[in-house]
Parts: sequence; C-alpha cells; structure tokens
Amino acid sequence: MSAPLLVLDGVCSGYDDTMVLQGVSLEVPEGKVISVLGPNGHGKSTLLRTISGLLRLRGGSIHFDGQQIDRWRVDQIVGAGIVHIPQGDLVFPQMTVKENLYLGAYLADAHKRRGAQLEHVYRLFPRLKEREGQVASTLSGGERRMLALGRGLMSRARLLMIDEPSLGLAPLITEEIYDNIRGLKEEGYAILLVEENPERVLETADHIHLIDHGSVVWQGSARELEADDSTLSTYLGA
Amino acid sequence: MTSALIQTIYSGLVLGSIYALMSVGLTLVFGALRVLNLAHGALMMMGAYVSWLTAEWLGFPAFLGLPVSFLVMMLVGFAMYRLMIGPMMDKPNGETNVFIATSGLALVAESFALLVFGPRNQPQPFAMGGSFHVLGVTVSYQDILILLVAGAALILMDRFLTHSRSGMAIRATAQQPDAAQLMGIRHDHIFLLVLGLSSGLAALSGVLLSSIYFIAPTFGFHPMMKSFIICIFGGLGNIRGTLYAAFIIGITESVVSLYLGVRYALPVMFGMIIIVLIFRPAGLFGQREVVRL
Repeated sequence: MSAPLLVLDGVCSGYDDTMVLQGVSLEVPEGKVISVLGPNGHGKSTLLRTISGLLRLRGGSIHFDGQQIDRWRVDQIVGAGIVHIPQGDLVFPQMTVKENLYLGAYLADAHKRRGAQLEHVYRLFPRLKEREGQVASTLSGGERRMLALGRGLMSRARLLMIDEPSLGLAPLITEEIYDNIRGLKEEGYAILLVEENPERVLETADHIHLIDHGSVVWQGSARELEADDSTLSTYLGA
Repeated sequence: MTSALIQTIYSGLVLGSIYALMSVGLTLVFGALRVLNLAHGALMMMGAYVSWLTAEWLGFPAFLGLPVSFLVMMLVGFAMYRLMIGPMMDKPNGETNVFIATSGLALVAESFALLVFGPRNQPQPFAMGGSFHVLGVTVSYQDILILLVAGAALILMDRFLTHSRSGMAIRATAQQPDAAQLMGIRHDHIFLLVLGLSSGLAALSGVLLSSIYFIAPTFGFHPMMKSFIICIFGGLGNIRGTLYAAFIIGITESVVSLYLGVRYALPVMFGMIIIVLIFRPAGLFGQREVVRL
C-alpha cells in the first residue's frame, strides 16, 4: 500500500500570538473523502489555511505526495495540486463566471489546458455554463458555491480542501452541493472536507476527525460516530 | 458667451484626460495594495523632467521624451516597490508606514529636483505649436496630441486589465486578495507590476500636464491633490468611476476658473467632495461596500 496523499504530523499554527492548532495529525489517502468536524472557532479553517500556505506552520510537518511542503509558497502548493476552496466562496465579485473560472487556471500549466478544463467543469456543473457571462456577485448562494468548486477544479487539482460547503445554504441546495461533492470523489479526487454540521458528512466521508480547541479529540468512520452518542452530544450538540 | 462656454468645456475635457491618466494610476495602487501612494505627484514631476532631459540634455528628438519617460519611471516604480513599499507591507501597520514613507520620498525627490534643476520653470519639449479654429473654439495641436496620447493609454490600460492574464490577476487581487493567492497568484508580483504601471501612467500625465503649463520641482503636488479628489469621487479603487470623475472634475475646474476665477477651483472641488461624501460615502460611482477594480 502506498503512502497517503496528504500527511499532517503534529501541526501547530495560529495568528500572531494565539496558537490555534495544537498538534493536529491526520492523513488523506488518494480518492477518499476525509472530514474534519468541530464547532466554529476551533481551528478548522485555520487548518486549511495552514495546509494551503496562507498561514505559516509553527510546528510539526506537512507532506504531500511524499514531499515536505510546509515551507512552500502558496503558488507552489497550488501548483502541486492542493486546491483550497475557502469558506464563504470568495468568488471575484465584479467578474463574470467565465472570468472566475479562467482565474482558477491561472498557473502556467493549467493555463495551457484551460479550454479543455473549462469543458470538464461545465460538464460537472451545467448551471455554470448557463450563467457563463453573468457577473459573480449576482449569482444565487448555491450557484456561487458551484462557482467556487468549479474554479478550484480549473487548476490541476489532486486534493480538494472544501471549507463548509453547506454554509448559509438552504437544505435542498446543500443536498445538491453534496451530490456534486460525491461526484467529485467518483472522479478520483481526494477530498478534505470541513464542516460544522455532522449530519452533512455522515453519508459522504470515509473517515471523520473531530477537532476541539485545536486538537483532534476523536476519529473514526461515519458509522462509528453515529453509534457513539456521547461523542456526538459532547462535541457537536447533536 | 456660448462660445466661451464651449471653449471652457473643451479645455475641461483636455484637462480631464490628463487627470484621468494620473488618477487611474493612483487608484490602481489603492485598489490592489490598499495603500495611498503620496509620492504620485513627485513621480509625475520626475516623469516630466525625464522627458525634458531626454530632449534637452541627451539631445534626442522631443517626441521620444514621452516613451522614455514612461519606461524610466516604470523602472523607478519597480525599484520603489522592491526597496521600500514591499518590505514595509509585510510588517504590521504596513499601510500607515507606506503612507508616511511615500510622502517622505516625495519631499526628498522634490528637494533633489530643486537642487539639480533650480526653481526656474522649464518648458516641456514634448509639445506641438499651432492651432486652428472650429465652431468658434480655438483648438491647439498640443491639445489634440494630449487627447490622443491619453485616450490611447487609457484604452490600452483597459484592454490590459480586462483581457490579459496579468491584468485579470491584478483585478482578482484587488477584488479578493486571499482567493487570488489561492489561485496561485503571487501578491508580490502583482504589487510590483501595479507600482510599475502606476508610475508609468504618472510619468505620462506629468509630461502632458507640463506641456500645457511648465515643469517645476513641486508642480506635481496640486495635481495629486486633485487626483485624490477624483479617486474619492469615483470610488477609490474603481477604475470606471475614476474615469468619469476625472472628466467631471476637469470640466468643473475649467468652468469655475472662467466664471469665478482660478483661485476658486480647488476650494470648489473640495466643497463638492465634502457634499458627495456626506450623501454618498462610497463616492459618486462607488457601490455600497468596497468597490474594487
């Protein structure tokens, strides 16, 4: 068996003088959906920002595809195939859907194949093709989420890190987005999925980590989590 | 009476096209870096002198002054980012420090120009003599030249920002800096490019403005103040809004100068900006929240 695609070992990170992550270890194997659950403000987004290089690692190590990447710049990490789809989408508001997607293929390698990649994204999200010329700020919440996902796929992604894909969406739309995410798994992408709401990920994630106060307090499969009433009620209020 | 008004509006358009060049440069920097470059007026002044030096000192044909000035000042802009603004941006309170440092740089540059060139006003060699009359309006060839240069530069700039890969990256960085980084766009590269372009535009506007007035060590200061008014008027960081505002301010300045006198031009503009900011805090063309490129 080959090594997992992404390996975090004792990752510490934070902002200025506040340490948010206190030694997080986890692995994302190729083609699997790994989920990180936890209440707001306990380091889930910080974890993704640290992996993508927006935040400096303060301790521990991060390996991707066998290489240590924790000193790399953001653009090098994106170039290696780690794509971070940030919380709240952060689409480029004054640009059209198509311009947003093309920016996803900004790096030279992806830029060369952006035509083919655009077709691929339009196949996965036909709605984006319909909205191609529309300015992103006028999209609905669900469409914006699709655009953020599609924009991430425009690069040569191997690992998708998705931060709270259900945030602020109606249940029906959330269901649609999760159908998309399961579709991406079938396409062969490895996915690191961050959520606050455990019900969302139970049927999608292969393995679940619970984060509380910046460290992993529980991990196991979805079935194990469902059976474990005390963990659910202690950490997730479910 | 009417012909005086038409003449005034026409001079306002010429002035507005120069203001548009200098204000777009200023708003570009604010849009992408979120800092105000108080050396923008000094860059205009330096650009005007570079053109003067090219013709008077190196003896090249006068028309070369404009492109040479653009290129030289672009390099100055690169150096300014690499040596001063870039290192400051990484530290806490970077925005405030850049604000102070650039105004200091402007003072140094102006004093240096005074030392080297003296206080005497110099004519801009990049100029054309002669004029003709049309519909009771006197049109000088220099005005036509200004409109052509400014128009071409603004159109090229617009094309660059909307269609090229680097231009898109500049707009992306201005609209959503974190997301731009996550696309693999390097902030430091974008900021360097923006400072270079902005300084180049400052040089063009400095050459053009001095061609209807004169070159002097501190002649960039007042235009820079007007530029700030224009940028705020149009919504800081908003390029289209800045363009409209430049022409509104240019025409207002001409009309006020005609009917009230030149000395009232700046006070009237400041009065206008105060009124606009009371009723539309994001500027006349600004949208509610932050408007970016």
